Amino acid sequence: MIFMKLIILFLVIATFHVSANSYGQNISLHVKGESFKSILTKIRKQSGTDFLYNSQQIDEDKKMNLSITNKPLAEALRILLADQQLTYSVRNNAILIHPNASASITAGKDNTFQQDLRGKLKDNTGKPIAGATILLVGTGQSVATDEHGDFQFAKTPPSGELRINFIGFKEKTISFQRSQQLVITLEPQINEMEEVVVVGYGVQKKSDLTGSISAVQAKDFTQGSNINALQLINGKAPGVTISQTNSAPGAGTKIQVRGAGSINSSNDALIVVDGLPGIDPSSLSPDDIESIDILKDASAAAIYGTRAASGVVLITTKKGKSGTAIAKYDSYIGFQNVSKKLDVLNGKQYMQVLNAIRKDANKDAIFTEDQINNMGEGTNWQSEIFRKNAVVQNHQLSFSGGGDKSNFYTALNYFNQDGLVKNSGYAKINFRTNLEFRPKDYIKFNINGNYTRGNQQAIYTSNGVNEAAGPLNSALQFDPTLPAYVNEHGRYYLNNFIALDNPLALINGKENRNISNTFYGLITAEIKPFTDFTATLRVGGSTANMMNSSYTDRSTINGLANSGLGSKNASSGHQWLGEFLLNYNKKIGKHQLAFLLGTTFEEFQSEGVGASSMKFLSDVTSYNLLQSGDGDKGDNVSSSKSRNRLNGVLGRINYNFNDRYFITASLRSDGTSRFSEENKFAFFPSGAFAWKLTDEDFLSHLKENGTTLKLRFGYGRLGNQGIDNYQTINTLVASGNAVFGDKIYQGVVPARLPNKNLRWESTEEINLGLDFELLRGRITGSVDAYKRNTKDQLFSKPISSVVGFSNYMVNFGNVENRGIDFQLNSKNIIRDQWQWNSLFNLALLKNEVKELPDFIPQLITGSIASFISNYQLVERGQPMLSFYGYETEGIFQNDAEIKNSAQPEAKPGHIRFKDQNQDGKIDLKDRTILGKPFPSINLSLSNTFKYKDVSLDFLLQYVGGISMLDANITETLYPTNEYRNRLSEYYLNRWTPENPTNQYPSGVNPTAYGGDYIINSMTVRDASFLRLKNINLNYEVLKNGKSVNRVNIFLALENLATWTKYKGYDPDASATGTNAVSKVSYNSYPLARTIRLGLNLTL
Amino acid sequence: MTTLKLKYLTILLLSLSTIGCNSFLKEEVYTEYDPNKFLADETGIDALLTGAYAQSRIIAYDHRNYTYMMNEFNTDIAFETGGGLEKDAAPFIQFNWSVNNSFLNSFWEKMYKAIASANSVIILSNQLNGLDPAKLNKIQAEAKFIRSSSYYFLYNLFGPTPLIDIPVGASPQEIEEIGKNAKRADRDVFVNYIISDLEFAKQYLPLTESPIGRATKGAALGYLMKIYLKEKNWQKLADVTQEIIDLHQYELYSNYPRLFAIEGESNKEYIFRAPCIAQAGYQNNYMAHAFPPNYPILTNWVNFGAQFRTYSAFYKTFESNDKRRELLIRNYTDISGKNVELLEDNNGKALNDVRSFKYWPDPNGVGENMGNDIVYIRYADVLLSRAEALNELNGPNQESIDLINQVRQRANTTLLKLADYTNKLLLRDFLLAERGREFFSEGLRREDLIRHGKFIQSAKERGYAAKEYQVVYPIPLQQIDANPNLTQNEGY
Repeated sequence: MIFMKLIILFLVIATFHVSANSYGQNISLHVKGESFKSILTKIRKQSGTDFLYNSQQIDEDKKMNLSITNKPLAEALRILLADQQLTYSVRNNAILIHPNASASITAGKDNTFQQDLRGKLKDNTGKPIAGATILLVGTGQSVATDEHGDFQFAKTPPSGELRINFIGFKEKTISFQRSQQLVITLEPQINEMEEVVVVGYGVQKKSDLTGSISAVQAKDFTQGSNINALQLINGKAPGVTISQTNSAPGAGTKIQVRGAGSINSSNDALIVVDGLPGIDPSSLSPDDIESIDILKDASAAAIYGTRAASGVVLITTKKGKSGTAIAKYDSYIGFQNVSKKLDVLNGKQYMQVLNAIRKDANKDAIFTEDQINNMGEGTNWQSEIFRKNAVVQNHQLSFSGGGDKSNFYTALNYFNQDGLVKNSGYAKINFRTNLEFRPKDYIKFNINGNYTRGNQQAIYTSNGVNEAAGPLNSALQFDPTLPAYVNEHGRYYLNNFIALDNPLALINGKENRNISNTFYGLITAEIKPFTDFTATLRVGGSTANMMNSSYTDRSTINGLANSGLGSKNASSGHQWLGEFLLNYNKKIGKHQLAFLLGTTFEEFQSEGVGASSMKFLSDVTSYNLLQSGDGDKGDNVSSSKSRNRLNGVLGRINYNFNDRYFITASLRSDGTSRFSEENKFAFFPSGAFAWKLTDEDFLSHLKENGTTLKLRFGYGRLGNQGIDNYQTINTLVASGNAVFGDKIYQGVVPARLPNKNLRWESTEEINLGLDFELLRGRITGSVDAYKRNTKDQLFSKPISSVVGFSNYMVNFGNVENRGIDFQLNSKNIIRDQWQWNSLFNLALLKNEVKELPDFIPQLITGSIASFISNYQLVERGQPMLSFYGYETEGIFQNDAEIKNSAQPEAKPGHIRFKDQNQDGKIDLKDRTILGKPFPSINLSLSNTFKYKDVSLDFLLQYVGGISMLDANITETLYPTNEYRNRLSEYYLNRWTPENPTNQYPSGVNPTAYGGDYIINSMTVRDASFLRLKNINLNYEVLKNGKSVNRVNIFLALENLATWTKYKGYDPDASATGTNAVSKVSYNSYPLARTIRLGLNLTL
Repeated sequence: MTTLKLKYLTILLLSLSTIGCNSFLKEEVYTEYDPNKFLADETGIDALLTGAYAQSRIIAYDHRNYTYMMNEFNTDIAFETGGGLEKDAAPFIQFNWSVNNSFLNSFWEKMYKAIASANSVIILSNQLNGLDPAKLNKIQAEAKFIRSSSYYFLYNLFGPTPLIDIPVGASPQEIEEIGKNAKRADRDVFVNYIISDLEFAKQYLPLTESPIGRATKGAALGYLMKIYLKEKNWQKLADVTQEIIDLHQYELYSNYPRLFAIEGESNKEYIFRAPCIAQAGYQNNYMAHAFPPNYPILTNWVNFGAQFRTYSAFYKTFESNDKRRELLIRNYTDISGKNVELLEDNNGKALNDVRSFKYWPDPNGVGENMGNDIVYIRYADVLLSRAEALNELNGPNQESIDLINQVRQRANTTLLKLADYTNKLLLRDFLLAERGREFFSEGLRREDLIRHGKFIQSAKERGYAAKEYQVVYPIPLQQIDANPNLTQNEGY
C-alpha cells in the first residue's frame, strides 16, 4: 500500500519526473550522445512503464551512447544502468531507479572518519525503504539505502546527526553514537490527493474517487465549544449546510446536504460511525474523530440505499499508530455571553405606548400620569433570565499507541456547559476505545466501543403559548413594570391580563432533566484468505436509554393549578447490525478491478414507559416521588414499543484502466418491514465515471506544469424510508376512550386507511464534477454541478372525509434540487516559518417543486405556537415550503388613500397589502411567495496563518437568500392581548398622524390587519447573514520536548460578529427544530458569544 | 489454508442464503390491534362502540368550537375577544367565515369519523355469531343513535350532507371511491334517514341511562324532537315531546343555578349529555374562558387570555328576580380588592362584558379541566319545544302557557297569563326570548334564531354585514376539493 501511495506521490512532486506512456514489450534503442533522461523517455514510450527517480541522486543529463535491439525491458535497463552505479526495482507498474546501495557515494574527503556506520531505514509498517538518501549532517556526505533499506557509511565521526529527507515521508533528524546499529523509522507524509477517503463500505484514494465526496480531516475541523460532531464540518464542505437551530446546551444540529427534497418525510442525512449506521452524532466526543466524509451525490451514496436520500455522513474515529505510545490531554475553558438582546419597551415606554394606543382608539388610558412618571426603566426580563459569563469546559484525555500486531486508542472526555439562560446546562461524559488486532497476516480485528452519558438540564422551550409558553417568550412579552422579585406571599408578580407566567417562575419553577446513556460497539473482522480477497464480517449495535424527568412546582401558574405536576418518561432503544462483505481487488496489467458484494441486516427497536402525576403533598420531592401525587386524576401511565427491520444486498464494481479511466457501478436492494409483501424490496443502482484528463498525451504539457485535472460524472438512485410503521396494514388503535359516569372506558377506533401500494420515496441524481490541482498542489479544488429529483414522495392524500378518514398515504410528486458546489484550497505562502492557507467554499442551490399530485395543486401547511398557521406553500414551480402570505405596501396615511384601495375598511395607520390579483379586494387569493427556508448561496472562507510557532485561523461564513418567519414580530404586531410587551422598534416609531411613517403600523386595532394577514412581508424576514464564526490563536509553546513532547495553548473566539438584516436572536436558529425544513423564530435560545482558553499537552 | 477457505466459504454461503429472507422483514405490531382478531367477539364490538361514542362527543376544545364559536358568538348572547382565539373567533362573530375555515372542516371530519365508527359497529355486529338478538338490537340501536345524532350536528351546520354506507370488506381504493362519489342527500331523504335511525334506536334503547352518558330511549326521542323542531314539523314535534313527557323519566331540576354545577349532575333533567371529568381530553374547559381578568379564582384553576363575554343587552332581558340571571356575573371584586363593573359604566354605557358562569366552576377542577358534564338535550327544551309546537299548531293555548310556566316557575320569575298572548306571533317571540334566557351558553341560540328567521337580522342589528345565505355554513372547501360531487351551499 505504501508503495502505491509513493508512486502517486512521485507523480505529482516536482523533483521526480515521469512522462506519459505508450505501449510495447521489447525495447529497441539506438542513440548517440543522448541524455539519460531522454533515453528513459524513449524506453517508457516503448514499454509503457513509468520510471521514477530522484533527480538529486541521478545525473539525468548524462550523455550516453546505447544500442539495444529487441531486448526485454529488464535486459535493456541492465545495459542502461550498468556503468552508473545505479540499480532499479519494480513497484507495481512503475520502475524505481536508485543508486546502487553497495556503492556508497562519498562526497567528503575528511580523513578523521574512523569507523563504519550501519543502519536500516523502515516505514511505519516495518517495511524497508529503498532508495532514500541519508545525509550525514555537517559533512555533505550521503548514502542511499538499498532494496532492504540498509545503508552504510564508510567512515563516520564518533557521534553526529543523520538527516533523512525522502519523498513521501516526513523529514527526520536523529543523532547517533559510534558503533550503533541504527533502525530509523519514517512517518509517511500524506499528500492531499493521496488522502484515503472513506466511502461507503470501504476506502478509496481521493484521486480515484468517481463520486462527489467532501472529506474533512481532523486538522481542518471547525473549532468551537461543540458537542455535536456535525458542527466540526460547518463551513468546510460545500453543499453541506450545518445550522444550530437552537443554541441551548445539548440541543441538536441540523444538517442539509444539497438542499431538501422530501416534502413530508425526513430530510435527515444518514450518519455512519465507523461502519455503524444510524448513530446520533452527539453521542461521540468530537475530539475522538479522525475524519468526516460526506457522500454528497447519489453515485457515492447509493450504496446506502434506502436511507441515503439526504446524503450520508461517514465519521471515522481515531486509531492508534504502531510504534508509538502517546498520552494527550486537551482542554479548554470558555465563557459565554448573549451575543444580542432584543429591545423591548421598558417600563416607562410600555406605559406610554399602551396609553397612547388606547387614546388613539378612543378608549380610556390604563395608567395615570403619576404612575408613568414614577416608573423608570422597569424590569428587563431578558437580563433577569440570562446568565453572564456562563462557563463551558471540555477535558479530553487520550492514550494511543501500538505494536507490531495491534494498536489502540482510548479516550475519556468530559464536557460541561452552563446555559446562557439560567437553570439550563449540559454535561457529558464520553468514553471510547478503539482496538485493532492483527494476530495473523491474513486476519485483522477492529473493536470499537463508545459510551456516552449526557445530562441535560433544559429550560422549558416548547412552542407553547399563554400559560404553556416558555421563559424566553415570557421574557420578551412580560409586563416590564412588575418587579423581578417575589411579593409578600412569596409569589412572583403576575399581570393577569397577559396570560403568561412570570419568566422567573418559569425558570425557577420548572425543572426538566434529560439523562441519556448511549453505548455502541462494533466488531469487524477482516480476513484475507488469499491475495486480492478480503472478507469482512461486521457485527455491531447500539443501545440508548433515556430518562426524562420534569416537575412544575407551585411557583408557576400551572404548577399551582395542579398542585405540582411531575412526570418521568424512560425509553430504551436498541439497534443491531450484522453485515458481511466480500472484496476482491485485482490488478492485471493496466486493469485494476475491485468487487464488493455484501449483505446487511438491521433491526431498530424501541420501548418506552412513562408516568405522570399531580397534586403533590409538597414540591420538595420534585419528580422523585411520583407516588406522592394524588393517585387519581391526571395520573397517567403509558408504554410503547416499536420495531422495524432492514435487509439489504449490495454490490459494487470499481474498475480503472491505467489509473486514468475510472468506472464505479453499484447496486443495492433494500427491503423493509414497513412495506407490504409486494413492495418490500426496491433497487438502488448507481454508476459513475472519472477520467484523469491530464494523464492524456494531449494534455501532458499541463501535467508537466503541475496541473492535474479529473473529470467525474455520476448517476444514482436513493431511497427514503422516512415513513411510520404500520402504514400498509389495517389496525385499530386505543384512542377512542369515552367517559361514562365518572369513569373512562376503553374504546378503539380504526387507525388509518392503509395503502398496500406504498413504496420508497426515491431520489435520482446526476452529478458532473471536476477536480483540479494547479501549480503543483499550491491550489487544489473541485467543482460539482448536480441535479437531484425526489420522486414518489409520501403524501397524505386528502380524501373526502365522509368515509371516516380524512386522508391516506400515497406516493406522488417530485422536488428538484440543483446546484453547484465549489471548493478551493490554496497554499498562499509556504515558507519554513511563514505559512498561509485558505479554504474557500461556495454552494449555490435552487430548489423547485416540479410535480404535485392533481389532488393537491397547492399544499399550505405550517403551524407554530398555536396561533400561527398555514404559512408555507408547496406549489409547482416554487421552492418547497416557501413562505406564503401577503406582500405589504407600507402604511395607509389617510382616508383618501384607503378609499382608493382594496381595503376600504382599513383605518389610517393600518398596513396596506398588495392586491396581487387586482380584483379590488384583499383575500386569500392575494397571497404570494415571501421567501424560502433554503439558502440559495452558502459561502465560507477560512484562513490559517502561521508564523513560526504561532498560528491564527478564522472562519467567515455567509448564508444568503434565506428567509425566516419571525414569530416575535408577529406577536409584536398582533399581540395576543393588549398588555403584552413588544419589540420597541415597532411601537416607538409607530404610525401616528404626527409620525406618518410608512414602515410601522399604528398598533390601533391590529386585528383589522391580522388574522390570516399575519403572514406578510413584515413578519417574514430575510435571514441572510455573514458571520465571523470563529477566530483561533494558537501558540506552540514546546515541540519535540524531552519530558513533554508538545505543549500548545490557544485562545478562541466564537460568533464574534454577525452582520444581518435579521433582527431576532440568531438568523441561523429555527424553532421548528433540526428535522424540519421550515424556518421560524419563536422562543429561540439566544446565540452565545464565547471566548475560550485552551491547552493541548502531548506526552 | 484449506480450512480457512472452507470457513470462508461457509460464512459466504450462510450470509448469502439469508438474502431476501422475508420472515426477517415481517412487520410486527405491538401497540395496535388486528381488527380480524380483536373484533371477533362482543368485547371487541363494545370497544368499537365506545370508540364511536368517543368520536361523537363534543367536549373540551370541540365543545368550545362547536357550542360557542359556531353557535353562540354569531348570536345576540355572547362573543369573544382576547387570547390567540380572537382571530379564530372573529370570522364567526363578524359573519365573514371563509369556505376553508379549518374549524368547520375539522368538525365535519370529526362527525364523519363518528359515523364511520358507528357504521362499522352496525356491520360487524351483524356478522357476530351467537349474539343474543336483544343484545344485537341494543348495540345496533346505540350505533344508529350515534350515527343519527352526528348527522344531526352536521345538518345543523351545513344542511344535508352525504349519507354514507360502506359495504363489508371494501378495499381502501373502494372506500376512497365511495367518498369521491358521495353526493349530498336531498333534504327529505336526509331527514328521513335520521328519523328512521332514531325510530329504530328508540325501540331498542333502554329507558334508564346506565352508565350515565349512554344512549337511552329518551335520548333518541330527544334527537327526534330536535329534528322535528328544526324541520318545523309541529305535529310530529308535539307528538314526540308528549312521548318524552309520558316516559316519566325526566323532571326539571329545582335549583337552576346549580343544575350545571358538579353537584347538579345527578339531576333528572338532562336527557343526553357528554359526561366530563377534570382531566385533559375528557374535560369541560368552558370556565377558563369565562373568568374575567384578575377574578379571584381558586389556585387550582386557570384563567385564559381568551375571554367569552356576554352582551349587556342580553343580560337586560332577564327579570331581576330570575334565578337564571344568577349565573351571569355583572360585577366582581378582583384579587386586588377593586370592584370591577362588567355590565355598564357610570354613564350607563353598555360594557358588554358580562360573564356567563353557566358551568359553575368545579372546585376540584385542575387548571382548565373541569368535570361539569356537557348537556346536549334537557327536559326544559322538551317543555319549551312542545309549547312552541302547540302555539304553531293552534295558537296560544293554556297548555303551551303551562309548559312555559313550568320552566319560568323553576326560575322563580313571573308566570305568563294566556290572556296576555293574544296571537301566535306574540307567544312565538316570547318563546324565542325565553329560550335565550333558558339555554344561554348551551349552543342552541343559533338554531333558534334561524328557525325564527331572525339570525341574519339580529347580526345586522349588531352591525355585521351578514348575508341571507349565512344561515348555513359553507361545505368546507377541503371536502369539495376532495370530492367535486359535493355541491356548495348557495351563496358561498
